Amino acid sequence: MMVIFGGLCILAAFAPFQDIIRITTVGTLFGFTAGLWVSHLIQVLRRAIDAQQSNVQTATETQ
Amino acid sequence: MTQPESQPQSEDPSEQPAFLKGLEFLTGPDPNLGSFLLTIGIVTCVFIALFQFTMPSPVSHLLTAGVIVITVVSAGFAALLDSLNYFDQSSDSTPQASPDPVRNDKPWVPKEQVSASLPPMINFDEELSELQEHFDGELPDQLTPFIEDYRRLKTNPKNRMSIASDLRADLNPISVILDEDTPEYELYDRMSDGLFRYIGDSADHLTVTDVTSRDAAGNEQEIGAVAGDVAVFDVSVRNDGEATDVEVAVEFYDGDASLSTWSGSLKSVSPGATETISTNIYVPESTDRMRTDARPA
Repeated sequence: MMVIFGGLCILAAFAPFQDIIRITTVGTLFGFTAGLWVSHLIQVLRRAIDAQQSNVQTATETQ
Repeated sequence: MTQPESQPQSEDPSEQPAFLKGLEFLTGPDPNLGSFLLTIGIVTCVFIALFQFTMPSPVSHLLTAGVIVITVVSAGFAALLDSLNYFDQSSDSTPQASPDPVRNDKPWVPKEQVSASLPPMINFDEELSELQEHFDGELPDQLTPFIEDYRRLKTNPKNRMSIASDLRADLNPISVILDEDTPEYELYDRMSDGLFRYIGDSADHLTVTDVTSRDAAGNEQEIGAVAGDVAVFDVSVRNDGEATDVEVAVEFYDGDASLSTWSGSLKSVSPGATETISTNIYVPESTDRMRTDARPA
């Protein structure tokens, strides 16, 4: 999804349309791309926290 | 920050390929904080250049500000992930990158370099190989904590005593899955005895394996035959524990009465090594027996 939105954002920036259409399209696509990126980061962060908690639990159980 | 490669957020993460779940897809194999920030920086530059060169003035500034905000947010996430040791462990967090250690050929062999070899009494490689054969090549799950602590034992020579205690506790579940009076139970017993011996008095790790006394002509003699004379003594000591300096004592007796004691030392006897100390000792006249002892110096 990010590949698609990011690529479309670049294409739209170079598209031979009126400025108002280009600005709207690029702004929207960039918003989608940035939103997907941040949500991806949140997901990675959550997984990292889960992994650390399970590591702590494993270490406690093995003691 | 816009990153061109990622997965859709709406899909169930469990259905995605493992490498798509982490940052490895963005940064390449074995990601670290540097490669992550570098990727962010590259994409930031691309998008700022794109907006600055293609958009009219006020809009380009707004979009550039948006890119910078996302970059700052991404850097914050990067710092958080780094504090959680995500970058150190990310290659291990995926099932592909971290095969189950118990499924390895020899899961008890650590990946890290072993700086000091294990003393024979707690070197269970042979026992574990036999157990693995007994269980058709796959060690049971009950052995997993034991294997993990055993690898720690190999790679932490300074902390072996406490790890050996943990290891002894890890043995308990193994005794449950083995039948007594079987060869496999003997392996368990051997490992248990070795650990108890290691945890116990370190003087028990040293054994005097051989003592010979020779007269001046070099002939081997009983102790009574060289009494009242100087004799050559060869005392061999085996070290089953950690490398240590060894103090060797030879005590001469007349019945129960101690006549004299001689002591010497061996420097840095390696684990599993047998070393011999040769020395001339005067044997008191009425000596009828002697006692040898070896203990850590």
